[in-house]
Amino acid sequence: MLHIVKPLLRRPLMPLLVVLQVALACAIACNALFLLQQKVAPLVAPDGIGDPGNLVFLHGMFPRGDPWPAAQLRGLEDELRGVPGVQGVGYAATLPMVSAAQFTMDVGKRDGHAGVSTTMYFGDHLVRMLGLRMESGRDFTPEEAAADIDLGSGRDGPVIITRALADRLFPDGEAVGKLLPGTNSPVVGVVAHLMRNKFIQGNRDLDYTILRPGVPKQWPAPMYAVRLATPDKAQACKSMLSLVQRALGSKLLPGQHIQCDAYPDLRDQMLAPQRAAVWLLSGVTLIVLVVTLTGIMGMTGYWVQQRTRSIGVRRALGAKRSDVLRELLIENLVVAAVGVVVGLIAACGINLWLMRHYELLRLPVVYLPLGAALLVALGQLAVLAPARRASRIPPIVATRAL
Amino acid sequence: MFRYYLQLALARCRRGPAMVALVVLTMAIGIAACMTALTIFSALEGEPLPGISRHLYVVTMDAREQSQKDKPAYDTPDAALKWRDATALMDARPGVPQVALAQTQQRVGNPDGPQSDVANGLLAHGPVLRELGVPLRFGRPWTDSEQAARAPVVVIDSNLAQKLFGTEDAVGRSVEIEHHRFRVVGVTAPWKPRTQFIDAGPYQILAVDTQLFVPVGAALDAGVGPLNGGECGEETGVSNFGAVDVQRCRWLELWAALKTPAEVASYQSFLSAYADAQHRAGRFVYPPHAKLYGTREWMALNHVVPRDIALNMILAGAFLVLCMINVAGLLTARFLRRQADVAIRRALGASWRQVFAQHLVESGLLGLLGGLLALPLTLLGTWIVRKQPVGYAAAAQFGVGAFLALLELSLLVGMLGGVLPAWRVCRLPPAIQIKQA
Repeated sequence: MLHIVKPLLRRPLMPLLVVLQVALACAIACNALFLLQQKVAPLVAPDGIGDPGNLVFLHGMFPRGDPWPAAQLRGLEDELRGVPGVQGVGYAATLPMVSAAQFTMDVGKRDGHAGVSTTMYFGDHLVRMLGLRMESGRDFTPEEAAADIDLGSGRDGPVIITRALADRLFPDGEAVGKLLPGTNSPVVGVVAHLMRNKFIQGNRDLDYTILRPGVPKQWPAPMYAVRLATPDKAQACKSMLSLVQRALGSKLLPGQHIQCDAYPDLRDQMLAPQRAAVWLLSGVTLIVLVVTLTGIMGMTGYWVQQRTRSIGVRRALGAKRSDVLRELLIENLVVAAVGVVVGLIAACGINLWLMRHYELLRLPVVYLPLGAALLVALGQLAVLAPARRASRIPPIVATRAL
Repeated sequence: MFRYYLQLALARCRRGPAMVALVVLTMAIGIAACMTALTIFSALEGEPLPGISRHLYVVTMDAREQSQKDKPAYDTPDAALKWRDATALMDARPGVPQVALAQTQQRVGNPDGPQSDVANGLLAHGPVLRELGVPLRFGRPWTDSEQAARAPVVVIDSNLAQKLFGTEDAVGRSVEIEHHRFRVVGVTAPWKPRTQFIDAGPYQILAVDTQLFVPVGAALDAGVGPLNGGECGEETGVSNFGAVDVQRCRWLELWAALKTPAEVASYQSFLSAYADAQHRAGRFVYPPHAKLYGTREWMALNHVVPRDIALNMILAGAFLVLCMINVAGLLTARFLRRQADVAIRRALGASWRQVFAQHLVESGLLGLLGGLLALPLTLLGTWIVRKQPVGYAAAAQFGVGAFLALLELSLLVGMLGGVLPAWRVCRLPPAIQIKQA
């Protein structure tokens, strides 16, 4: 081991540059991969929507001044049901993948306890219209669904929650029949998944969702979730839009347009920035690795060339080709290992700094060995070509120019 | 001497073109990544109104007049004020330029013709054009007496004037908003802040064109309301759009222009005294925590600019450093391979300083080449960003200033990357180098 470390220390400049390069690349890769994972999470997480192909949302109805009376909006809901090609209609205050408004609630928030951050959806037939899969308990009854909620005082009432939230709030037992912590809201059912309509960092929270029956009394952004029985989405949308325009048009806010969008399109739009960030981060990570690879190759190439004569001497003294090859690989391993150690410390330091200044999450420990393995493998890959060249140095070189 | 070094460097670039290409390409990629991120970062993280917004402060306080069961705590500073509080604060400090603002969106029409358009604008009380630095093209701002008399006057921008009247000089004409006529007293040049700072929130980064300025009093008389009807005391998070209940709702932001720290301190103590007095009188039910916020601070608090912008900048900066370390290593290898030439120059009497300068010129040249290659890459990068489905896409504009910054950066990158190798090669004693050769 000593005969590998000693020459490194005698001429430390090149190995030092490799160490620096590996360290920085390791620190960047760990943090970039972690950010990447957070951006990927909503793209791959289940959104809970069943049969999204025939689901459309009517949204973008903003009244000028006081909201439309709830009775008028429910009447419009019944009219929409009569449109040809419409299978079912649900009236809602917020819907997934439409970001006009969000209800958030910190369940179990008390002094000194932050609670669990959740998103709430209000609507009369959400479970059926969104095609959510009930895991236990029941859907809301028609009486519950017909309620108009007073947001100021009426925060209590039956709720349906997602499996992830149920497991988080009631880790040791069934959620159905219990009260939501800190409220008088009994959990009546549990659905498999339903994604929040606002992406907060971290992927566990994506599925922390609460459903409430009914719609707030005074609600300035009503929406309808519509299940179509016909494949002719354009025609159905046209008829529904003209119906809504006729019913509400006189009171619409100037500059706002009622929209009829297919759920898959809304999902694409909502996730587009995430997808863009995934491309960006994976591109950056790839380029970082390529740059590091070429850098190590270039530097090791010179480092080997410089020692041509001493390698020739070793070959003349009986070292085999494989010995030379192995020694250079081990040498690179030592240098890369030092770089990786420095890099991991730097990665944690950078992450701590980012946590303080940009409210980032803590880097999970699993990323450290991942980044380390990546960089060590990269180093070995980079040194392979120069090392093979070195191992082919003929012993005769040693006799020249001595 | 410099020209000779330059010729030497150019001659040497022809030898070992693969290595030169690798060095130049590495620098180009690093510079392009950094410039792309920097272009967006400087557009978004800078001042929304260059030279003006740094003196602007927004008034915040807990001005709730009813207790709120579902949200008793005052977690985040609140800038929404009632019309009576905004005017009371403005009237009490006539010497300080202050303006009360609310965003609005209205259909504006030509009363004598079919033309109309939906315009974004501001309902304002106070010298709004002067305080925000909106350039006037024709006419004048509304006067204090017009404001006090609640005269139906309006200032529009030249694009709206062109659209409605076919001419930019629309002074003296009338526009129709909500079935009421407003006389145009001034026409501004097209104007918008670089980023959204009025009604700041995480949903909008880039501001829209402000095409319409209406005095608050006249607007209220005509039923022309703000985009957001504000907080009306009953429940959190629900509000009306396009109309306001002036008695009940808090919907105006008050911005004060304060030039010196002394002015800020004086206004802050005046503000605290006003709010505390309201609290003592029983109007504000909670301790008011009145506080002024500077524009940038206020935007950061409301997360106007997503943190990804800063993270991308940090990432790009770290990547550039990585590229520079890479370049330093490659250049060291390149320079040290020519030890023999250096040794002969040294033996012929060149000082180490001259050798150092020669190599620095070479690395600087490579840096500039990298910068040249980085230019199309940066244009490509900003083009890609503009195609992205993100709210700040339009901010990725590569201008002349950014080009100059790129050239400086590339020269700097080349020289910095070359310092270590050049130093390494010029410190070798000539005798040993000749012997080694």
